[in-house]
Amino acid sequence: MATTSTVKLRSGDNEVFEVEKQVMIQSGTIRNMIEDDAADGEIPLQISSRNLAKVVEWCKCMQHRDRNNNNDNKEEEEEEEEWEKKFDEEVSEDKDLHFGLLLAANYLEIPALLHRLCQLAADIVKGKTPEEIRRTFNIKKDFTPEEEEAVMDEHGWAFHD
Amino acid sequence: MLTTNINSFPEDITIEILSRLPAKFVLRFRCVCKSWLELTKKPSFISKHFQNNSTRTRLFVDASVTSAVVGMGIVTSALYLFHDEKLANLSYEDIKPQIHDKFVGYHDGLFCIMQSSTNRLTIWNPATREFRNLPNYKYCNSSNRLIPPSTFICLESDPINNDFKLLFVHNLWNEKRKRYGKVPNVQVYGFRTNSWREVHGHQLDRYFVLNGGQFGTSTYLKKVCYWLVIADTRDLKVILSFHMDNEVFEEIKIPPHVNYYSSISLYEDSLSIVIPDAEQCFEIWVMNDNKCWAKHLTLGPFFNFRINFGFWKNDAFFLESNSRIYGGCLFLHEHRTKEIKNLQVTDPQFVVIYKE
Repeated sequence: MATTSTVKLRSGDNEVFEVEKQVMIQSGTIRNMIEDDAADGEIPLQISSRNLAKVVEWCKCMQHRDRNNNNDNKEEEEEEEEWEKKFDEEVSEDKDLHFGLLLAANYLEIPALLHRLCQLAADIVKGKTPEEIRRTFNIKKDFTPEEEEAVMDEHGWAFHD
Repeated sequence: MLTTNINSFPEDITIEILSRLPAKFVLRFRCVCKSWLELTKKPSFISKHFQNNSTRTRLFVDASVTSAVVGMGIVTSALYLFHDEKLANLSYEDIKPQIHDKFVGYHDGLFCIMQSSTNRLTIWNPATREFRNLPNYKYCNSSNRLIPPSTFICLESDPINNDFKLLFVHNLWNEKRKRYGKVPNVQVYGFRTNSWREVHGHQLDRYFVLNGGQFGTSTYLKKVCYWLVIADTRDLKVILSFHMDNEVFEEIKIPPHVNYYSSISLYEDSLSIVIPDAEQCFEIWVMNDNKCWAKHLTLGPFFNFRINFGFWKNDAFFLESNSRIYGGCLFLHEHRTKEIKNLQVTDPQFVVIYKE
């Protein structure tokens, strides 16, 4: 039986985060470990301390929000909305943070965070040209000129608004 | 420092991101790189994309337009896709495909078209402008005239065969007896195998499928097809259902006073029957999960209107006028505000709540 009410997460650069279990069960990966009684020691994660701190912060905020869902505290609600807005802005402007969190959310199995980050990524991608997307995401164009022409022939109309 | 090459990410993440884009952007970004091109063509991606975009619903109407050319009235068909999801703004685009003949089915962003000259079927996806001509089905080439059929496209992938299915139901014309044959013919098309096979249902000869092409005689919900049919032996209307998963037919009882003018459609994700009464009112009956019917509400009275084309969002529904003044115009009636709006479409044939 698990005895403590917290888990210790160790980041890739050896920083330890002690977080309430109630907060971290939003992560499928951590929840499984807790259920298997494998979460009593430190849990080593291949996630940088900066990204892990952000994930923990997000989980705390969501748990707080879910707990308060039933009472109508306008002030707190606004505060949370403000926090989420700031989170979105910060992530949208910082590519490394955004990508790092995507991988972390995927690895830790936090669907709500993953969906949010994917939606933000989709919003960023939407306004870009294929060339800008390649630059943003470091993607190499691997079509031969003939292949590119074939794709453009088929889908060229989608470039007109 | 983490790498920022998105293609080093697990494929799931890329799918999750790209499937949140409207179809047009997905197509636009197919030319970014090969892996994006391949990824966005997979059935798993297409299902996911549909799921993520299905909250965006717009109105699609197939209408007849009569234009006077050199003194002759020529009836052509127009396809209106309205821009505004809330229908506050009535602008639309006419998205006529090149090979338009008759629409015989719609499901999940795909239309099924029958070419009247050859009886062949084509699947059309307006969002990607893709066509797929289906191979000839059984009786396709026979001289038998086909009753306007009802087709169902099941985009829910068939997990056993990793495929999409299409169901096609029609009645054959019996030349000797000068009437439509009684037994409906049921065939299923598999997208991956690109082939047809016949389905033999339990005692299908007991039913007579009504004019399947007409709105209100068939509908589709959660992998089950429904038809309003006449049970031959009892001369009684019942609903016949077909489960796309296990290909089983089932008969469902309906409220006792369903009359000749009743129609079935979807009402907020439930199967519903609209029953007009003598006072120009319409009773809306809704079926619950236990296949029990309950009267949900009564609408009307509406004079010179018919409820013909089912329901829109938020308790709004479509009316077709049959008065001389408006002659077959399509109207939207908001149940809450009691507002009636003319959608400026004449002679509608087919109304669809369209999802990309």
